[in-house]
Amino acid sequence: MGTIYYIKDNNNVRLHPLDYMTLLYDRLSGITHIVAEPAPQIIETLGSQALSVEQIERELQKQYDLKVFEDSDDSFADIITARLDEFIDLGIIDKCDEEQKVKLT
Amino acid sequence: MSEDKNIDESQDSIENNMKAGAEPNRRRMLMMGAVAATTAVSVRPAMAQTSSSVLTCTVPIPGPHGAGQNVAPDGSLVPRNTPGSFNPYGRRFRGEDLRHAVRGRTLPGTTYQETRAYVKYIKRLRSGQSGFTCFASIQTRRY
Repeated sequence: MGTIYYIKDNNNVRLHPLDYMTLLYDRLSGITHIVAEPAPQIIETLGSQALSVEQIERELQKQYDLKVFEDSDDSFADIITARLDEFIDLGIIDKCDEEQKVKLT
Repeated sequence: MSEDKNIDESQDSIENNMKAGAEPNRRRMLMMGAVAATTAVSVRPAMAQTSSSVLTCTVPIPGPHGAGQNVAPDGSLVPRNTPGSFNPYGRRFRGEDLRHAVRGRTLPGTTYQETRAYVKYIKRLRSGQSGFTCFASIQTRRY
């Protein structure tokens, strides 16, 4: 069974786009995170859903033309996972096994 | 005039091709950055609290919402017998000790790995959970 990611409190998270960055306000902690892409796009993709890294990548591919820096070996999946882990450390996202997905709905 | 008619016909042909689904790719480019990059900078709110109460306030680990559970190395609450997890026994840690722990010192009576797990647990606390206000105050005071 794969790992899926979800926003812990989707109703209490607000995104506010600025020029080259986005503000992410986490109401229950009172903290504002200043985030750069693709982090806000990942949050928007998740919304109220619980998705795997592969599903998130597929959704991003539908909406955007994904690019990495020329000398980068990182895969899209690795980059998305790193961003998700960053959000887990910030307490905004959590993860679980796919079989536990039913308990989230 | 025949030339005008030819131009009109070719224009119609272009429009028909576009309607048939041959539209150019108009998706925005999304720069994915690098795995090692940090893409979030956090700004914490200032909270009004006197100096003495900040240093003497305490955070229970775990709070009542986690009673009977252990703390995993990533700060999440897990069942008591989860391998690699730590049992904090509901200990309360002082704000002053947590202030040092965030900067790398070990909490009293704990190992280094245990301290790291408890600090991650505390960083995940939310408004309404015991210890949130104490820890938030520590983060915003200047010492």
